[in-house]
Amino acid sequence: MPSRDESISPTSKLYDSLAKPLAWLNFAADGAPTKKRGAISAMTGTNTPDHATRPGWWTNDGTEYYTAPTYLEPGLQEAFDLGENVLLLFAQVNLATGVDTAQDYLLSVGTGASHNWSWVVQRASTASSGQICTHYVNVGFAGDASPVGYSGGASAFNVNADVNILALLDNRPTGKTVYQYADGVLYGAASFAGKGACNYASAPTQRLRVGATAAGSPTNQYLGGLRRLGVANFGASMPRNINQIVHSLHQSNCVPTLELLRAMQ
Amino acid sequence: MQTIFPGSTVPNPYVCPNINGTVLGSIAVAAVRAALTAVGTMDSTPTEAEVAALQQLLEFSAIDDVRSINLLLVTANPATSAVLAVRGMVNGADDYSDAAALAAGTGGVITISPNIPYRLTSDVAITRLMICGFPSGVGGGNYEGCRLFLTSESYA
Repeated sequence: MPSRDESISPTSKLYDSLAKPLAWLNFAADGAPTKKRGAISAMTGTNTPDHATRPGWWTNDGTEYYTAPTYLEPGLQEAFDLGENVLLLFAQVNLATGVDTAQDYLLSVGTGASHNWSWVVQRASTASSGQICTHYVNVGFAGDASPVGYSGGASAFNVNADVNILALLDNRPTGKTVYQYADGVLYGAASFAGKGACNYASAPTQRLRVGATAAGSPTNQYLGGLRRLGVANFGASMPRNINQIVHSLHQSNCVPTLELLRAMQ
Repeated sequence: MQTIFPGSTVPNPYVCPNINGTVLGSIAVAAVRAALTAVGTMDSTPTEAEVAALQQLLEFSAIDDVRSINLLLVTANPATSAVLAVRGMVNGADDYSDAAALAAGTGGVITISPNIPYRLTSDVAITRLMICGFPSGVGGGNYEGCRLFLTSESYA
């Protein structure tokens, strides 16, 4: 008989009982959903996304991007629907030195004047070192004439370094704030008080794209490495352990953790 | 947590894991990984990238519904072995997150000590077990007879 017995309950079990939508996409290889709730199709890569330069990463030279083949499939929609919900966005990135200081789109959900949002990174200068990068969201809420950027912090992390960035979008009627984190540290917050819902299904064009704008002919492509990108949709309730969730996601390099998965049961 | 033991009337046939479809019942623990025959051993300051090149993925068919694994790590020369233990990650998300967890020894990583039969039971099907050797730090340590034996039981 064995002299050591151990019972385990693998974290993978929690993926099977998610009560709240999660989409966690694997850009280490092919843009397929690594873990998710519901049906989500693999993203379609354009311009042959480079997974060879750095194993385990998608190294974008600024021309590549991924597009969801079915924009409003239920699994995709429920995860990426900002509505009046709480969304936690998380990604491990490595920004390359940029030739300009324009926005680089990590994620773009819908296009048009309203009911769309995006998550971007931006360099404060074209230097190759220094704390010169930030990340924030652009959101077009119901009734808006165009999406507006919401950011409460700048120059929070470096180019050419592996960084875990998280954005907590609280669009509940009592929240209306975005919180910006870099490597587990809260460095900025911005209010969008008075704004309404942002419903994915109501976007004029419901295209979803990673690494570029969602417009038909994309612009502002992301320049740098991206490994993991995830969206957790907590619905109308903020987890009480959100700080632990943020810290644990940083510690795990944006692999969903026990803290996150338990909060989504 | 629930411990699963087969009932007397429930047959639980043994199944073996596979590497890229090749079934095996044991694997050598060596300095470096070999395609289907050996798992590598990390150094004392492992990084994710290093472990990713050393680790070995053992997979089980989901159809087999494997819920227990019997493990035995054998070392021929415990005092001079270069291998102190084998670390394992059950049902990890992907190769790189497994490598990071194995390097750090966190996130649900199990440690299999040498020459002690070890039985792991799970309350869900085990479909992947990522393993990597952990160094003893013995100067000039050797890998003689270092081999990990595995059998698993199907609850299908």
